[in-house]
Amino acid sequence: MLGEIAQTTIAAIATPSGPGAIGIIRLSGPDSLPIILRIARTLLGNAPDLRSHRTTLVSILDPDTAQLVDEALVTYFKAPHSFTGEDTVEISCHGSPVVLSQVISLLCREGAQLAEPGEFSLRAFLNHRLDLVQAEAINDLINSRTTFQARLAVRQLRGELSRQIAPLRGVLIDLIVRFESAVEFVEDDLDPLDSVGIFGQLSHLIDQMERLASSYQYGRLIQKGVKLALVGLPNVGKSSIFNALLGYDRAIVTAVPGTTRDTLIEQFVVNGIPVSIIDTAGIRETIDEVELAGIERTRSAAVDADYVIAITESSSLFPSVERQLFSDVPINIFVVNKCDLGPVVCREILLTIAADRPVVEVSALNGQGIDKLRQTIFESIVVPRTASDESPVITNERHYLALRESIISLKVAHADLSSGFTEEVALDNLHKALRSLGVITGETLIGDIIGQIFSTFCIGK
Amino acid sequence: MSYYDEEFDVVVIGAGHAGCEAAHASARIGARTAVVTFNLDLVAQMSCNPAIGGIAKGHLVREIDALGGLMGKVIDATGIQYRLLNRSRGPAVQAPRAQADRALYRRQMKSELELIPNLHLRQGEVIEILTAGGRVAGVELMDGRRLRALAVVVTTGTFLNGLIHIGERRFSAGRSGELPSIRLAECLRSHGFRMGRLKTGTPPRIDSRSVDFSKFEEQKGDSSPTPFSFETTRIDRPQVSCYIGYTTERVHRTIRDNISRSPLFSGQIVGVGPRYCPSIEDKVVKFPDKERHQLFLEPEGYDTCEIYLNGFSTSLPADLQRELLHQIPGLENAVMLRPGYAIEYDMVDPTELWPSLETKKIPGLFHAGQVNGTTGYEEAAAQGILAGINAARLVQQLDPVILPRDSSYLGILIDDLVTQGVDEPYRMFTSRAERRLELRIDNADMRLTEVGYRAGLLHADRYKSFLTAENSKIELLNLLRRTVVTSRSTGYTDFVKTTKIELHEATTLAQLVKRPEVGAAEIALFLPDVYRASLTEAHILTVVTDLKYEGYVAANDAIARRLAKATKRTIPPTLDYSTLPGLSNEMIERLSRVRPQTLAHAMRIPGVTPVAITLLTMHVELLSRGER
Repeated sequence: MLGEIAQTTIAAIATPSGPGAIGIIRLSGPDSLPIILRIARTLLGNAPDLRSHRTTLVSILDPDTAQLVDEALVTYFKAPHSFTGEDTVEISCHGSPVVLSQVISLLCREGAQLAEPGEFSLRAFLNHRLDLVQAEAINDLINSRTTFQARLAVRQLRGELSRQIAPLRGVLIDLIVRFESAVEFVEDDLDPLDSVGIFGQLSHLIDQMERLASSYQYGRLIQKGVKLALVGLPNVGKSSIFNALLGYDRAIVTAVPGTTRDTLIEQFVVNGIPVSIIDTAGIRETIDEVELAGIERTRSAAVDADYVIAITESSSLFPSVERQLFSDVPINIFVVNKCDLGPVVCREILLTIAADRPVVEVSALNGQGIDKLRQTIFESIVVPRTASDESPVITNERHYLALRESIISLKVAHADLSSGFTEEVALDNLHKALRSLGVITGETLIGDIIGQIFSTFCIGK
Repeated sequence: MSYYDEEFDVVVIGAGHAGCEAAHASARIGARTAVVTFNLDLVAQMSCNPAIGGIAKGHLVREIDALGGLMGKVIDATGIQYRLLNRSRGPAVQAPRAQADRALYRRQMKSELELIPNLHLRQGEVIEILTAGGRVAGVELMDGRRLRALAVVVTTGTFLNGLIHIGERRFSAGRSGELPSIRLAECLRSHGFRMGRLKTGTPPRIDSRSVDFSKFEEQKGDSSPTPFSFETTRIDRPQVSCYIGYTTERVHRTIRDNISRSPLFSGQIVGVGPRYCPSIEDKVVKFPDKERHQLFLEPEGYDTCEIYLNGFSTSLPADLQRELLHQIPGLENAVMLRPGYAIEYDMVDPTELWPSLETKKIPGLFHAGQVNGTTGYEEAAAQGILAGINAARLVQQLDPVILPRDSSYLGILIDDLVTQGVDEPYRMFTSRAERRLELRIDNADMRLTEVGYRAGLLHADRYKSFLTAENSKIELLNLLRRTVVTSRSTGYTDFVKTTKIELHEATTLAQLVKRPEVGAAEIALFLPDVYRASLTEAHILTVVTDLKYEGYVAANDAIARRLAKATKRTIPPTLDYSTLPGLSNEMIERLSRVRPQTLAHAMRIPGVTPVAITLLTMHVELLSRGER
């Protein structure tokens, strides 16, 4: 199936499945133009004059029956000036799934093949239209669940991360070039290395990379979302709060303690970040077998979660079982429910338990304080960003790990130099750091470095 | 009368640095070998500077020696100035460099070759490689002789279609004063080999009696020379000095004013030159801000007045060369004995070769040295020895010796050539090694002695003494791991005095030696027994350095392992590589031949590039996604 990639022309519906106002079909490969010309006519019935990067209104006709399938806007992108680097045609049809599948089957009848998943991106990568980061960004874009995720993915698609890493790579390559020159060309008349300057440059580079890497904390939240666990004794209203946060009834809410026996998972969005809440069975000394299992799940859900919200009620006297729970599980936010019933009875004890963690008073019943709770969740899970919204964010785990490895290598190189090892030892890790960055952008080989040595220094007897 | 005048197993064309090693290796292994050269008085001629070694190049010479080759022994017998480079750095990047007596070197190499019973030197010009049934059958000489051969090694250096440029003048030559190989170049082209054109150059030679040495800075050799060969115990020959001087702004101005007379800049030269051996006109044009360029006066031998003006390679007209010389401080009255020149020559694309250096087109035909696009005597000799070994093994119907990248510069050299090809003359650098800290001159024997011995090239007695030393090294290593020292140990006071390191807790010597300031000498303060009769200082250095770099080696091993783990995904056995877009023909050929079962396997195929692996990974990934 992969066999004839270069020769074949592929087609696929590019918009999500299900009815929509517009459905786009994409055609890529050497026969894109002949294929579309066989099924497209101008409104006057002539073969359309398709020019690159122009949109033309056409009728899509079945050439065998001359029956009209749809009216569509067709845009032709001549190779190599297209997303895949091949001749590409985009057909914007009306969004009906029936129409779209009719057009697709027409295209296939005329010689196109159905595209494999990711094949458009693969072709773009193979034709050097995309680097790895961009290819991954497309994947992120397709899978994005929130508009904020989509915005980030688009930024990466525009090559922003690669662009952001380029100067860092440049500094690193410059360091390597200077070290390599010193090691390889001892007989040449080169200026001695400025070791103080190099230490400064190396430290600065590490700082910058750390800053970029730290954006992953935020990027990861946007990409993967946050898992939030709600814990508390039975009947303090965990499920009500769960529903209030979600905005609709998901959990069974009854006045019988221990109604929630399964762990429920639902998702809502706080300021662009997808938050999954795990509602757990209440924790209580119990002999109910079913509930025992539920409690076990509570503990493990709390362990799995990124953030834990403890729920108590305004009338609570904080019995030892509740205190035990709040000290067993690492808690991020304390919520006092049922504030509509009266003020918090044991405020002093609560504040002692909460220490410096936020305490929010709500009423799941009348919605009082729920917005405040959302805000508190957002504030406590989002690492405050020092830079502006437009500064780069690492959202991909592979990129983050590569960046971390790069930083570690740089730190080892720095330590080697400080302890008195010479350049070739530090270079072992500097090259490693560069290779790690190459993992992100998919580039760099020793040839580049040797090339740069000769353009920087006058070398050779 | 037989069709052939003489019958050999292996014929080597050319007796330069590649040819000599190839012929020696092949004959030593047991193949009846002939080496044919234009002029038997010019065996192992140093066409360019009279020096062997340097960083990475010195590493190659040590590797050649560890395999049982000649270059190290010959330079040790004829070197007139030795310097160990990078003394201030660690052992991984230290390497010896030696000035040679050019005439002595030739004579010594020739007599080494003459010592081998089944090695035959013949003077003549090979004009044709004879084939039968698509395989090598022999060679034909200009004078009509035909030599039978089952394997032929081509080591033509700069001779294929050689064209010398001196200013506007140009003429065909293999080297200054020697004939070129024109018919042989035609022969290779007619066999369909992809050919390229490269360029190199040399500086003028001057008469030492006309030089004012007071204007130069003397550069003496090391007082105790570091030999190239593992067999050389010491070098007692008197050392001569080189001299360092500089060009001036005036010289640069004259060059700039006359740049149109340089064939390099007039468009007369089309071949690509090496960037690390630029001509003086290149240096002046490319680095206009540099006020002066360094020059080395290098004596050509003990009893000659010729001096090699290193750093002043040029193809400017001869009259201008003289004028420029006279503008250099100290050379005001210099007599130019031979003008510098540029030479263009044909090369054969090295991706035409298997990693054994045998051509893919004609079984039995091997290429080594400059014809593969390299530059440097050491690079040539290194390929020569491997081509010689594999030519002989082909005759003996044995599998070729192929050296991996991670254990020798020779392996890196050949892997780079046959997988990447060249677009300028290829020179070895230590930065080409992924595992530089492990490829050192002191451990070349540990890396390659076994290979040389198994190939039948290295003498049994040398192998035996190597094994003895290995055992002693292991003993020493264990001793260092075992010996614990504290601030109460004997020798501690002296240790603190030399290293400024204070010990706060008990530590083993193996731990201590990881500190950059601690070497064998410092260890000896605690353990005088580190210097032992069974081991040379170099052996001790190896043990100490292995311990010092242990952590880096382990980290690199871990990366290699992780890489291997990440690539376990299987490749369908039916995959048709020729239809994968983006793969070069080279990679399609390699992959189709081996049909790797996993990505890891694909990565181990000699010569498959990282780009090819990335493409393959994406396809395999896509395939598995499609199946889901």
